[in-house]
Amino acid sequence: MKTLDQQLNTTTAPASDSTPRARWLLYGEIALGIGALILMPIAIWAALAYAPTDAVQGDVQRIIYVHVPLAILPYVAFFVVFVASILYLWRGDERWDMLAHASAEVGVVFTTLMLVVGMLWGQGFWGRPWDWADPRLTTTFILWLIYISYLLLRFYTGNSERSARMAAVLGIAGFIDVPIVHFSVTWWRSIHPDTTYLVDNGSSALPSAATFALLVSFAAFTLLYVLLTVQVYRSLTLRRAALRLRAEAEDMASES
Amino acid sequence: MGYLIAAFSVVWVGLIAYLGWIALRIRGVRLELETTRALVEQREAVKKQA
Repeated sequence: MKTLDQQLNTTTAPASDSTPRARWLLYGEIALGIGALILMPIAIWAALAYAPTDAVQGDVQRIIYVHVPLAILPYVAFFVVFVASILYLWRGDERWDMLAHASAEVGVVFTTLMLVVGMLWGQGFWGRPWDWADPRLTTTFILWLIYISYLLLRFYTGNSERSARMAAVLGIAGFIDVPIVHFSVTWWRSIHPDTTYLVDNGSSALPSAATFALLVSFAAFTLLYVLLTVQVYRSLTLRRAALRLRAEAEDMASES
Repeated sequence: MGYLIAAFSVVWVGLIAYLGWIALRIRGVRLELETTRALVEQREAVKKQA
């Protein structure tokens, strides 16, 4: 049987914050947090005050500065799930499994917020929050359901290797919907604006102040995505360490 | 303007609440880890004595 220290070291969670690796991770997290704290108010100011008001939609169009980053980052989050799931099935290292789990959770949170702000924008501009006939909206809702199913699968099947393998398969298969969501606006007729609203012929289709606001907002949300994923990953590693220790304590109790 | 304020409020309050919830989760699991660790250490000590 492993000793207590060996048991703790088999997890990716550091037993204490005193090791050099743990210290560097902590500095990285602090830098991410400070970066996000600096960029968040700049992003809000740029979106609400610096960017010009849209001539057609008015102020409600400013929702774009949160809607677009919240729409793009789930692509990144679910791509991380896809790659980490493949690596988990290939290598069997549980750190890939936990990374996939953490990224899926943050991706679902971002997708949920994106859907809510999209509905508010739709209500403000189209006069209705949702249109089931719109391919972009419907495929995004399906994407949300796929990764909600992924999280529910993980929640209800526990921390076993079988559960992790099933989740990895779903994480790989579920990614099929990401390109469908992205290209839905060009493949099918849609009331949702297509990508030429933002980028046309390789350059920004927006005024320079609006491009700046969008880029700052995208940077702030990217830092938040990384920070949140690291935090969720940490909570998962600690949880697994606690479960292993509890199992060891139960073994010791049954031996004595 | 109301939809714009609602959208920004939902996003930023939602993200800050989520960050707070994760922090609480980490604190809870750290506490559980420390409690279990103390229990295992106690049992290891008893085993050594025996």
